Amino acid sequence: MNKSRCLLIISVVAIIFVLVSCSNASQYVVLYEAEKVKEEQSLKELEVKKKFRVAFIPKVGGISYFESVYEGVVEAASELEIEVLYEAPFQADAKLQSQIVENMIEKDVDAIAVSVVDHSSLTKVLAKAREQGIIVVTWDSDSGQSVRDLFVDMVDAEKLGRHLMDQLAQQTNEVGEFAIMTGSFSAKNHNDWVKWIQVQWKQYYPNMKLVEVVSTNDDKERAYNVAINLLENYPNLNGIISNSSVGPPAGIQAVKNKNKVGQVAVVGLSTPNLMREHLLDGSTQVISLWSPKKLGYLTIILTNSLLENKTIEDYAFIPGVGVIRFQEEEQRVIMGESIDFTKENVNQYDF
Amino acid sequence: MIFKKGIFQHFNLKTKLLLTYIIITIIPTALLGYISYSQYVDSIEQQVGVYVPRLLNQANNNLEKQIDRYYDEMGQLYNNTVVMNLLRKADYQNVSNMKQDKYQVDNYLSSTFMEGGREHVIGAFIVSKERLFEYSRVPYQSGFSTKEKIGLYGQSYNLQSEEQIFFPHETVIQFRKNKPYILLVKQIIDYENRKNLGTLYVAIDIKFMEQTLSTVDEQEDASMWMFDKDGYIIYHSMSSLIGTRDLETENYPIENGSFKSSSFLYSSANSLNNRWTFMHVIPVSHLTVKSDFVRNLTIISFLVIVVISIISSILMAWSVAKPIQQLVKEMKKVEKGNFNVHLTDSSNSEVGVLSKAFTKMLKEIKDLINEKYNIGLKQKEAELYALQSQINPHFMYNTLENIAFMVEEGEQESVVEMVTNLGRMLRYSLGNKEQMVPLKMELRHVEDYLMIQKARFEDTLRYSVIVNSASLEKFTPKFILQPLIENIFLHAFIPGQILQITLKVIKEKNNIKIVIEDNGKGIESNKLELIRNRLNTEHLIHKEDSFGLSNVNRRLILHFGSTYFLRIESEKGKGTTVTVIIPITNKGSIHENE
Repeated sequence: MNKSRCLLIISVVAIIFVLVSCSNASQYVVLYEAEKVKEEQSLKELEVKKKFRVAFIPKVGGISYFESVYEGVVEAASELEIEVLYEAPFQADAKLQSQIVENMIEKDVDAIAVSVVDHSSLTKVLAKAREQGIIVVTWDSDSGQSVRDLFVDMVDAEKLGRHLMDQLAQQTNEVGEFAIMTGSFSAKNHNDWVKWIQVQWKQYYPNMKLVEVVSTNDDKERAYNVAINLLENYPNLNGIISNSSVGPPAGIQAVKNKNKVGQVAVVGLSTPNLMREHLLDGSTQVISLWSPKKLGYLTIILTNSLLENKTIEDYAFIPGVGVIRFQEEEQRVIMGESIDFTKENVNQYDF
Repeated sequence: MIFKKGIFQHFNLKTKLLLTYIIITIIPTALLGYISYSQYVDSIEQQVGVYVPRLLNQANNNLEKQIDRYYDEMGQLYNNTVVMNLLRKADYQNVSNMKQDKYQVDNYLSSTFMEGGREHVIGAFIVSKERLFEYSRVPYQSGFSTKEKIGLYGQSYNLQSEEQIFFPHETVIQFRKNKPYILLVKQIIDYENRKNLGTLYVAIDIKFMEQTLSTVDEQEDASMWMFDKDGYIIYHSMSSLIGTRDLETENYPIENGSFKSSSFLYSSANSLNNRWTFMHVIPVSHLTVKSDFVRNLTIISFLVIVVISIISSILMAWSVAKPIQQLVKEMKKVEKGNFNVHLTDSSNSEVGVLSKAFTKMLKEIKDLINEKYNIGLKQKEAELYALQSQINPHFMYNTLENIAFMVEEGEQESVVEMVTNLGRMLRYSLGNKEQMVPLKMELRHVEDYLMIQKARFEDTLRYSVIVNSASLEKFTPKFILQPLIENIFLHAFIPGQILQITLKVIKEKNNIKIVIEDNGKGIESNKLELIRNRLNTEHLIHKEDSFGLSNVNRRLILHFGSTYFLRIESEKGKGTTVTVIIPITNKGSIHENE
């Protein structure tokens, strides 16, 4: 009797064991799970995503360069679902631009992207915008570093300045008089380029002579008048370098009108659309620029990155743009290299 | 558990001990063995479960790097200005120009993707503005692009990103012999003009993965495959399964990590960039091959422990229960009255101590019984002798002869007196049912005796009895005094000299002291010593000279304890003094024979 009871107890214990060990026999048992946290975080980010409002302000309205820029802006804004408030001064005037920035601050935008007309005069209003938590990005032309979060530069100023000088020297066989038509004396990008043009001139071309540096104020008519004046004032003039997009077409037009084609070479920065005619008819050989569309696109992409608190890295690959450079001390992005447009390739570009 | 407890209480000690030993040895050992083995297996699975996904992730990363290198090569297209110019060109041209362009771009594709170490590239295609540029190692067929599937003709497929991978089931492209491949697709974007120039496709033989994956696939039993979100198998270590579907994918609980079914351990790693999940499966039994030795060892050692513990618990239970059972058996014998029990256990264990104590107790009981029995026996014996000695036949004879002589002489009065005395003595002797009698009765008996002796010895005998009347009612054992007086007549007579006997009863504080003096022969000192010794030491009563003394002495000691012995003083030629001391008691409280 005792034995059978022992057996009973032992078997009861054994059955309990078997039941316990079988109870968790679902089909799959997870042993280890990696990176679950990561996925959860990305989900959260999606929830947080809101529609940003970005003010986009060029130096001036009505010129094809900034209109091309705006095309890129629209492309990026539609991809990122950002609302862009675009407003341009009717002329490149610091007061007008400052007023537009003020308006944008009142509209409580999340970021302001601006191509600064006057290096110093916008400082106050941009500082005010930053105080209100608005992210300030300058593009094309910079303000002081202290009042903006990022500057989106198209090209390296030194490289571009030196390159423009070389292009002119090539056309004039490194001799003769030349003049510089700069966009304005207040815009930082224009001043930098003029500086590096002169550095290259002094370094390599002793037989050339700079006769005058004049301002076009980014205005077509004023540029034309300035060019006519130069041709009249300096009858021995061999070349003109212009660093704002309205300059070269106006210069060429003046040269044509004065029948000086082949005598006076015009180089500089302008868009293929403005220069196509002159390149194809051989009145000028080469013109440089970057893609303003790409600049607009990149500016919005980077503004969005700042709004989403993402960091920008040197040599980062930006989809739709390519590899960019980033100088951390200056908080400055360089988009890439300039493109030289000639008779052969100008038809490939539609800006 | 109440039911268990109830049963348990009814088990005998041996069974209880046995059960307890088994419970406290076998069950913990079994538990320990089971837990440690399963923990061991678990930990192996856990280790593999953490380790393999990492390997898979590495393999994924390597594959992604390889794919990125292909994309980098595809990106070189931007640097080729000739091709870029051709792609930027307007779509409509004359036939010769179009053929010329096609010739150039096809050459570009073949030189870029088909030469040198790019043996895994099986085809490269550019679709741009209704133009198809192609180079392929392997003949292929392609349908038109649709919304769902990508192809080389028709409207361009809307890519989700600039670079994207397609798997065969997502395309309408088929190479000869159904060669498995992945299709790398890159949008050719004119960054400057912000326009889409076309699409670059590179088809890569799935074999390019094998080298990378061989670093993971070391075990023979393991299998690996790669599937996309639809369960389509892109790659499988069994190449025949490539292109089929893994129907289980929906049931896999996670995409990154490890899980197991009843007999397989699954590890997986997800490649977010390239939309595939890399799965590795190994039979659990394969992992535990080495641990099987440990398991067998555990089972064997468990069995050994079970056998040892059962044997030792039986021995233990036996060694504890056996002596107790023995003891119980012996105790039962004692219960039945057999005191001659012999307990062998003399160890210092608890049972041994118990046995010893029991033996000692038995011995004491035995001694006590013996003592009581012997006391009773001796008392009876003493009483018998006392009875026998009540009336000495010699004394009877002498007395009767005396009476006869007195009748002859005509001394009527004396005869009457003597017969009265004798009659009283006989009556006293016959009424011997009581052990204790008042002192006055004992004294009367002695006086009767003395009076009869006086009648016989006439002037040669003088006696006196001095009694404190307060003592008369106190109790004394019967026949204490007469033997002592009789002793005097037997030994003390000196012929021609008057024998003086004095009997004094003195009441002390707690005792009555009875002193009997004579002026007879006395006892020599060495003989006196001998008598005293004999009174002190002898337990049995011998019928000898000193019979009367020792009889009285024994009875006093029996009655009142050893301090109430008979005291004898004597000097040769001067006489003897015998002292009897009796405690003053009420009759009832005296120890009585039953």
